[in-house]
Amino acid sequence: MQTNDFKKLAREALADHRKARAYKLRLFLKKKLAVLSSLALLIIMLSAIFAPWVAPYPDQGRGDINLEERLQPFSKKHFLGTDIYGRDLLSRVIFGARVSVFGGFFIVIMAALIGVPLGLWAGYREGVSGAVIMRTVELVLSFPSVLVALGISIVVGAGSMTALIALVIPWWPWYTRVVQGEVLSLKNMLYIEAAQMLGYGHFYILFRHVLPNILAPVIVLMLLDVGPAIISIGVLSALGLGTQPPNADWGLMVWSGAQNLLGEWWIAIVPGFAMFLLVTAFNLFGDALKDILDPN
Amino acid sequence: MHMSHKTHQTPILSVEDLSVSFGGSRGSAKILEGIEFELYPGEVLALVGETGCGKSVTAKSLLDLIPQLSRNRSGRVAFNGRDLLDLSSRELGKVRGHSIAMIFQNPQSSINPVFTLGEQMCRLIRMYLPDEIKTLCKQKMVKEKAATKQIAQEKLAEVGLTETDRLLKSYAHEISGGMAQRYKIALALLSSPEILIADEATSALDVTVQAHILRLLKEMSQKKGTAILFITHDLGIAAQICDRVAVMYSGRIVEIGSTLDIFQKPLHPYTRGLLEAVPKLGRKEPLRFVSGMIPDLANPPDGCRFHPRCDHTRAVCSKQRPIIIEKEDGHFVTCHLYSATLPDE
Amino acid sequence: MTLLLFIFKRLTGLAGLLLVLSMLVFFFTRAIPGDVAALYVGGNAKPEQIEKARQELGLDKPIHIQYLRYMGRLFHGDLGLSLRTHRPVLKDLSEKIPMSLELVMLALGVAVLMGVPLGAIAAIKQGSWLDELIKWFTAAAVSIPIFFLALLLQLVFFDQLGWFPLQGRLDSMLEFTHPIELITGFSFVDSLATGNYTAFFNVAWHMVLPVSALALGSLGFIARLTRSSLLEVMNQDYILAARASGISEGVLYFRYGLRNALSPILTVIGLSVAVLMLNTFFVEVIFNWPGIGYYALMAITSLDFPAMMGVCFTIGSIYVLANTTTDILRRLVDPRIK
Repeated sequence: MQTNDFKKLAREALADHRKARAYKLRLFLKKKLAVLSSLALLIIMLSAIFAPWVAPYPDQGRGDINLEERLQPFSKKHFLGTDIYGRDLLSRVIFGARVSVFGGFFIVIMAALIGVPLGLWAGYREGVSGAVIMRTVELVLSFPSVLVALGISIVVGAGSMTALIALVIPWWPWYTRVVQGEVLSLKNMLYIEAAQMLGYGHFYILFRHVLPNILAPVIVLMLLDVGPAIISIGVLSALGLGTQPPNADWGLMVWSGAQNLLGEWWIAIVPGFAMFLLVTAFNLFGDALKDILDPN
Repeated sequence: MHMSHKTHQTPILSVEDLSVSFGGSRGSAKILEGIEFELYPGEVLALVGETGCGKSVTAKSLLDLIPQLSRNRSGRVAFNGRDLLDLSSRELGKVRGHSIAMIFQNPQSSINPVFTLGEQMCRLIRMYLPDEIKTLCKQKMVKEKAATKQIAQEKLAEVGLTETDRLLKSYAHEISGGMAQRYKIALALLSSPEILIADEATSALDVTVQAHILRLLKEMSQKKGTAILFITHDLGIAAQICDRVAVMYSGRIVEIGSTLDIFQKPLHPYTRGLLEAVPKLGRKEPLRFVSGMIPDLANPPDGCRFHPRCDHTRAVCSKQRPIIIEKEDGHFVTCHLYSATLPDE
Repeated sequence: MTLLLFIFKRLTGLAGLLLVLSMLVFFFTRAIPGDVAALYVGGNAKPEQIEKARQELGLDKPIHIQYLRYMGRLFHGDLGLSLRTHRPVLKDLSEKIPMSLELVMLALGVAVLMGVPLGAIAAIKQGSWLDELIKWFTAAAVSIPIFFLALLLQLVFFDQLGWFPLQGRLDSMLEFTHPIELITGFSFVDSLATGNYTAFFNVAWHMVLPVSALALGSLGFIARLTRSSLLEVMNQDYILAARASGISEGVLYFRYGLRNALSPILTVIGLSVAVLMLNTFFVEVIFNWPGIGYYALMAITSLDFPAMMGVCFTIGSIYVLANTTTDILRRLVDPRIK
């Protein structure tokens, strides 16, 4: 009789938890900032995905030269002007969004895919393997991350894909460290002990009890990380180690447009501003999500 | 309505119709509703109830320690002729720690981890006992710092702590729970306050340490005449050191009486349920517990909040809120069962 | 553990990291594609000349011998000769580093002195319009890519408003009329020390834009962290207990709250040093500031290996040193850290 009552209590508690989640969604929608940034992100990402159809001059976006119309300011024909090769800047920016959005997500997701399981392991199992993982994390984190990525890019050779992979390498340790810390503090929670005493296997505990609880802070971390990832990609590209011309890339465009700053300023400023907007949108979105999922 | 103790003393603290609500987007939750009790000088009053019944909120609201609820309090808390709910934060700052002190459940996390115990204690000594420092300086011809330290060591010894010199130099994470709570008690009693509020002060300690701390509290109360408001969920602990017991359920006080009365002649069905749920050695019957769960504060039951779980519930219980009745001298209960004019089913 | 033991452990860790750093730098430069000897000699070189150069540079020896020679020289502080300037790399660096450090330290100072109070105000007045404003501002500040910001500042404050100069450290005229006598290498300090006030104000004027560009991102980051750290601290049990003992709100926030929140803030300051050093690169190129970033750029494009190694090692060392320092400072502030 007693155990049935406990099961009923547990079911009721779970129902409350589900109600709480729905409540959180409503809270999110109430925050104007969250909605605004979500919309902005949606628009930018959709334009990036459907670039060939959204951009007014998709070929120029990809790199075709159009020398007769070079260095033009804002006009009806070229909404954001043209660059030194006459390419429509709006199209270039839209195509550049592809690189930035894809690259940002790639880095963050790969870093999480590597870092989170390692962190789970190191935090849950501890022991020698855990210690080895954490020492490696500390070692990689002891060196400035972007410089490490820079170094790798120089050695392996320039290219957008190599730059992305090079950035993942110094990026994943952050996730391991955060996850390990969360798992360690979670291990002290009684319900984990209870599950262990009830005889549940370790992997089961990891998946059903530990993972859902670290998911919220990890997702917030990932979202807030996309912005810095995008900027890092821009940095590498500006140095010539990332996306190669004539492909559109915001970092590349800003750097090469710098020469004309004092005359045709839009060439450098427009893609830079686009990067600023996208990163801000991600940060605001991540902040709003954080206030709800992980207020602490 | 005022309740008076058998000896008809004047209470040192009188809580009248204290209500606290929490406004949320789902509607406001009435965390406390019409709390009334009195605390007499030198006595130990237990505030007993399950987790979530609002006993901790009650204690903290007396001193306005929950910023989010500051403005949602109503009622009157009479202390030394003034209404605590009406005081400005500066005036309240003079009461906190000086006249009404408080200790909490987790002693180690209540101590600032980046300062030594000595630094924190001496700061409070300088705040509460400046005159004593000065007199000691003149007497012993020592500097302020040494005088303060000496006072600190004396006070620590009073609560049974040894190696006070080393203790003053240590940090919160370096001492045990028992030592930490003794330290906190020493801090609380520095200013010889009239009231000490102990919020689950022993709940996080080992059983043996618990016993020591309880004994210490009782001793200090008797020695210094400090009244103690002892908050706990454990009736057994309440029985050990308390003179009177107030039982709380879902934001309301359901029964108040002397410890003897409550344990031997419990009136409210909830109190009875609590007492029956305490396992007794030698008893062979299955453990009886009160079925159901505590109510959702945003949507409490109408009338008496306990009625859904009550074995003796009647029609009136779901419609009307029961009022406080003095069943016998000093023994109060809030239940329709004891209404003088009991309406029929 | 005691403070001294902690410092000792950290310093040995530092030494270990520097060792690893030197290894990484060495193998990194050896891994770069390109024939060093050929580049050293220049175009149109005959094979014998390239071979001679290779022998001179010690590139013909097996790799472990090269490494040992490199380590040996490193211990003596010999970073080799720059293939581009043909001067000892150490000398080059000793001139360039102070230039960059000027900018970095000033930017760090601005970021901390403005960022911490800003974050604290946002935390104290949580929920108010001031808090919202600061949240917006800092969110924008951390989102601006450094190269974009630098260009933007040039565009607005030089091109449009004409308030500040475009580039350089000193007006070129002044290089001749009031040259700065270098003592420490920090033009800011030296001009003041030698009484060269004209140059001092001119340098300061030139510094405004680059330092602002550098500082803004770190300022935003530090402010946000201060805010969240302070808020978290104020929710702790010991703050509640302190409030219950009669301590006033003001003291609670400043003597207790900030002090407790200091640890993560210090960590971030250490990290900011690295970010600032990286950003200096862009700022120096855009503002034509003759510092280590500029030097690094020239080294990379001319495949000047000794210079590259020297730069990597220096920047890596500064980063590791900064982190070790903040680690020690954190231990001073928070005795719980092991």
